[in-house]
Amino acid sequence: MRPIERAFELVLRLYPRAFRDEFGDEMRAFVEARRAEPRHATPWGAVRLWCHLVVDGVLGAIREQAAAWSTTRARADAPVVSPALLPGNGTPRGAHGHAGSGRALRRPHAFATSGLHDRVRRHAGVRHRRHRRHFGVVDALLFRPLRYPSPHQIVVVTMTRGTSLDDPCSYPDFVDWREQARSFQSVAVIRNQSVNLTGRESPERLSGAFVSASFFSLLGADPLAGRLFAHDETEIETARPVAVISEGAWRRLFGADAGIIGRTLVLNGTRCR
Amino acid sequence: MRTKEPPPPASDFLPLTPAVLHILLALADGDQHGYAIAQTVEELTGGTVRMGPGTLYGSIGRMVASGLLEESSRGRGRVAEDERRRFYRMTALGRRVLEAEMERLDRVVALARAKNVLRRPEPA
Repeated sequence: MRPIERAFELVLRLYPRAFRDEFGDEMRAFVEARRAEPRHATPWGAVRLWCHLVVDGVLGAIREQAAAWSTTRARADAPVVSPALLPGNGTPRGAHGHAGSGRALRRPHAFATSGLHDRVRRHAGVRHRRHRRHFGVVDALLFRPLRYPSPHQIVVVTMTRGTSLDDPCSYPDFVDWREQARSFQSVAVIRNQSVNLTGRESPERLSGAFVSASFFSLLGADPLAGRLFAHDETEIETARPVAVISEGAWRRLFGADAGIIGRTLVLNGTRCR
Repeated sequence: MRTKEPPPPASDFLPLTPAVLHILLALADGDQHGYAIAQTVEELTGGTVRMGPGTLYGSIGRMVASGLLEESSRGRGRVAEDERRRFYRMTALGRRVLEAEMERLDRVVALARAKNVLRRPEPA
């Protein structure tokens, strides 16, 4: 390995692990190709390339670290809404198929102070991206065991398509699995989705997820305030769209107002309770 | 029956950053891997825009995540190419966003001409 490539390896370590996993090999190939260009064959050319790679690499690492931190923070404020909010023909679009079983489910022994258990939300969120999954696995196995009841019985099912090994499934597929699967005690579906919260002084773009009613019961989560989804409220084109908000959203957007339960929220133009 | 999430409007992405704009322009003629994209951008801009791997792959990652680009079916390891390279192509949403950005820039240029801060090109 040449000095420029060794130096770039050090720069690469500044990036989030997930980014390195995704693009590290391509970036190394990029640097090797750049180094082989005739204009970089001279000592002066090599110095210019080295400076360019270091400056660009460090600035890029700062951007990616900031983006990773921002994503983590957004997930902490994530609301969860029912599939009833889905527009169009009444089918969740590209819904992630997450199936799981949880025998003898118990209530988690610790909850956040509002609608959704904070750790449930965080750990549900990490399942959708490779890097989050890697972190989640290490975090769960080595440091902080998941606080779901029977976490070893929960599995995540995704589809493969072409080279993608983590592709969303369609809602009809989920319905088929729910009706026909015999190996699972319970099957739930979740799809991450940002929604627009309007009808307030200033609109907000919120990160959240569409989930089936079984999602919370599968994880053994109960709200401390209000209630979770009834089965008919998460069916497609339900007449009763509802939303569950996280503790973070409750505090940040509603000032921890105890009267939030039952109030109407406008999400993606749909009035939800 | 499978359904897809309707794409967001192109206007949600505007204005584009220089890096995203040039990557989309570089992919307007077909699939390319990252290094080829950087080379094309450098050629198209007469060497004034030179992308390093941090800028390039950070932008590509965000563009793939937002649906402007996708990995090409040519995938990794095309014959005679470095197997570490992946090919990318512009999606239909990416093309709409590029067109919308070009129209926006066209309006800006027209405005600049109307304000006499940009000379009209002289006839050949």
